[in-house]
Amino acid sequence: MASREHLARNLKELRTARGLSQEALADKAGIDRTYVSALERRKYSLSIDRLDRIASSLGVEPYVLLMPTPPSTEGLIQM
Amino acid sequence: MDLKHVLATNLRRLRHERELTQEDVAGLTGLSLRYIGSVERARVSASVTVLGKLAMALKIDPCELIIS
Repeated sequence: MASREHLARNLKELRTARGLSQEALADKAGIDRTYVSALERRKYSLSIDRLDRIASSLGVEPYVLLMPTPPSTEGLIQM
Repeated sequence: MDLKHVLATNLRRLRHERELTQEDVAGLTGLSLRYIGSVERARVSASVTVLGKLAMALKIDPCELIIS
Protein backbone atom coordinates (compact mmCIF):
# COMPACT_ATOMS: atom_id res chain seq x y z
CA MET A 1 0.00 0.00 0.00
CA ALA A 2 1.24 3.45 -1.01
CA SER A 3 1.01 5.07 2.44
CA ARG A 4 3.30 2.43 3.89
CA GLU A 5 5.83 3.12 1.15
CA HIS A 6 5.71 6.84 1.82
CA LEU A 7 6.13 6.25 5.51
CA ALA A 8 9.16 4.00 4.97
CA ARG A 9 10.87 6.50 2.70
CA ASN A 10 10.08 9.61 4.76
CA LEU A 11 11.05 7.95 8.00
CA LYS A 12 14.45 6.92 6.69
CA GLU A 13 15.04 10.29 5.09
CA LEU A 14 14.15 12.34 8.17
CA ARG A 15 16.05 10.03 10.49
CA THR A 16 19.26 10.20 8.49
CA ALA A 17 18.86 13.97 7.95
CA ARG A 18 18.95 14.30 11.73
CA GLY A 19 21.97 12.03 12.04
CA LEU A 20 20.02 9.53 14.11
CA SER A 21 20.68 5.80 13.97
CA GLN A 22 17.70 3.43 14.02
CA GLU A 23 18.65 2.67 17.59
CA ALA A 24 18.77 6.33 18.65
CA LEU A 25 15.36 7.00 17.10
CA ALA A 26 13.91 3.87 18.69
CA ASP A 27 15.18 5.05 22.09
CA LYS A 28 13.67 8.51 21.68
CA ALA A 29 10.32 7.14 20.55
CA GLY A 30 10.25 4.41 23.17
CA ILE A 31 9.99 1.58 20.64
CA ASP A 32 12.21 -1.34 19.68
CA ARG A 33 15.02 -0.87 17.14
CA THR A 34 13.92 -3.88 15.12
CA TYR A 35 10.54 -2.19 14.80
CA VAL A 36 12.10 0.95 13.28
CA SER A 37 14.05 -1.24 10.89
CA ALA A 38 10.89 -3.16 9.92
CA LEU A 39 9.01 0.09 9.25
CA GLU A 40 11.77 1.28 6.97
CA ARG A 41 11.50 -2.01 5.09
CA ARG A 42 7.69 -1.59 4.82
CA LYS A 43 7.11 -4.66 6.91
CA TYR A 44 4.56 -3.22 9.28
CA SER A 45 1.70 -0.86 9.24
CA LEU A 46 1.97 1.04 12.49
CA SER A 47 -0.83 2.52 14.57
CA ILE A 48 -1.29 6.27 14.57
CA ASP A 49 -0.36 6.45 18.26
CA ARG A 50 3.09 5.18 17.38
CA LEU A 51 3.20 7.35 14.29
CA ASP A 52 2.61 10.30 16.62
CA ARG A 53 5.48 9.28 18.93
CA ILE A 54 7.92 8.75 16.07
CA ALA A 55 6.95 12.10 14.53
CA SER A 56 7.61 13.95 17.78
CA SER A 57 10.97 12.22 18.14
CA LEU A 58 11.85 13.56 14.69
CA GLY A 59 10.43 17.00 15.43
CA VAL A 60 7.83 16.92 12.64
CA GLU A 61 4.04 16.84 12.44
CA PRO A 62 2.75 13.26 11.99
CA TYR A 63 1.26 13.92 8.54
CA VAL A 64 4.75 14.76 7.22
CA LEU A 65 5.66 11.09 7.57
CA LEU A 66 2.90 10.14 5.14
CA MET A 67 3.49 12.82 2.54
CA PRO A 68 3.75 11.46 -1.00
CA THR A 69 6.64 13.81 -1.84
CA PRO A 70 9.94 13.56 0.01
CA PRO A 71 9.91 15.94 2.98
CA SER A 72 13.56 16.99 3.08
CA THR A 73 13.36 19.48 0.21
CA GLU A 74 10.82 21.84 1.76
CA GLY A 75 12.73 23.01 4.79
CA LEU A 76 10.75 20.61 6.94
CA ILE A 77 13.89 19.06 8.29
CA GLN A 78 14.73 22.24 10.14
CA MET A 79 13.74 21.91 13.73
CA MET B 1 -5.40 16.78 21.07
CA ASP B 2 -3.89 13.38 20.27
CA LEU B 3 -3.76 11.95 16.79
CA LYS B 4 -6.75 9.65 17.34
CA HIS B 5 -8.93 12.70 17.98
CA VAL B 6 -7.47 14.57 15.01
CA LEU B 7 -8.33 11.58 12.80
CA ALA B 8 -11.82 11.26 14.32
CA THR B 9 -12.65 14.93 13.66
CA ASN B 10 -11.19 14.95 10.15
CA LEU B 11 -12.87 11.71 9.09
CA ARG B 12 -16.28 12.93 10.24
CA ARG B 13 -15.85 16.29 8.55
CA LEU B 14 -14.56 14.86 5.26
CA ARG B 15 -17.28 12.22 5.22
CA HIS B 16 -20.00 14.82 5.78
CA GLU B 17 -18.56 17.09 3.10
CA ARG B 18 -19.00 14.21 0.66
CA GLU B 19 -22.47 13.42 2.00
CA LEU B 20 -21.44 9.88 2.80
CA THR B 21 -22.84 7.83 5.67
CA GLN B 22 -20.69 5.63 7.91
CA GLU B 23 -22.30 2.69 6.05
CA ASP B 24 -21.10 4.13 2.74
CA VAL B 25 -17.53 4.44 4.04
CA ALA B 26 -17.69 0.93 5.45
CA GLY B 27 -18.81 -0.36 2.06
CA LEU B 28 -16.12 1.54 0.18
CA THR B 29 -13.29 0.49 2.48
CA GLY B 30 -14.35 -3.04 3.33
CA LEU B 31 -14.07 -2.12 7.03
CA SER B 32 -16.95 -2.83 9.39
CA LEU B 33 -19.50 -0.18 10.24
CA ARG B 34 -18.64 -0.67 13.87
CA TYR B 35 -14.96 -0.01 13.21
CA ILE B 36 -15.71 3.21 11.29
CA GLY B 37 -17.85 4.31 14.24
CA SER B 38 -14.98 3.58 16.65
CA VAL B 39 -12.53 5.60 14.56
CA GLU B 40 -14.93 8.57 14.54
CA ARG B 41 -15.30 8.35 18.30
CA ALA B 42 -11.49 8.23 18.73
CA ARG B 43 -11.80 4.83 20.39
CA VAL B 44 -9.20 3.05 18.30
CA SER B 45 -5.71 3.89 17.10
CA ALA B 46 -6.10 3.09 13.41
CA SER B 47 -3.15 1.77 11.43
CA VAL B 48 -1.49 3.50 8.53
CA THR B 49 -3.04 0.83 6.27
CA VAL B 50 -6.51 1.84 7.49
CA LEU B 51 -5.65 5.50 6.80
CA GLY B 52 -4.82 4.43 3.25
CA LYS B 53 -8.17 2.68 2.82
CA LEU B 54 -10.14 5.61 4.23
CA ALA B 55 -8.24 8.06 2.06
CA MET B 56 -8.97 6.01 -1.04
CA ALA B 57 -12.69 5.93 -0.20
CA LEU B 58 -12.75 9.72 0.34
CA LYS B 59 -10.49 10.37 -2.65
CA ILE B 60 -7.91 12.30 -0.67
CA ASP B 61 -4.31 11.87 0.36
CA PRO B 62 -3.83 9.91 3.62
CA CYS B 63 -1.97 12.84 5.21
CA GLU B 64 -5.13 14.97 5.04
CA LEU B 65 -6.72 12.68 7.59
CA ILE B 66 -4.18 13.52 10.26
CA ILE B 67 -3.52 17.21 9.64
CA SER B 68 -4.71 19.20 12.64
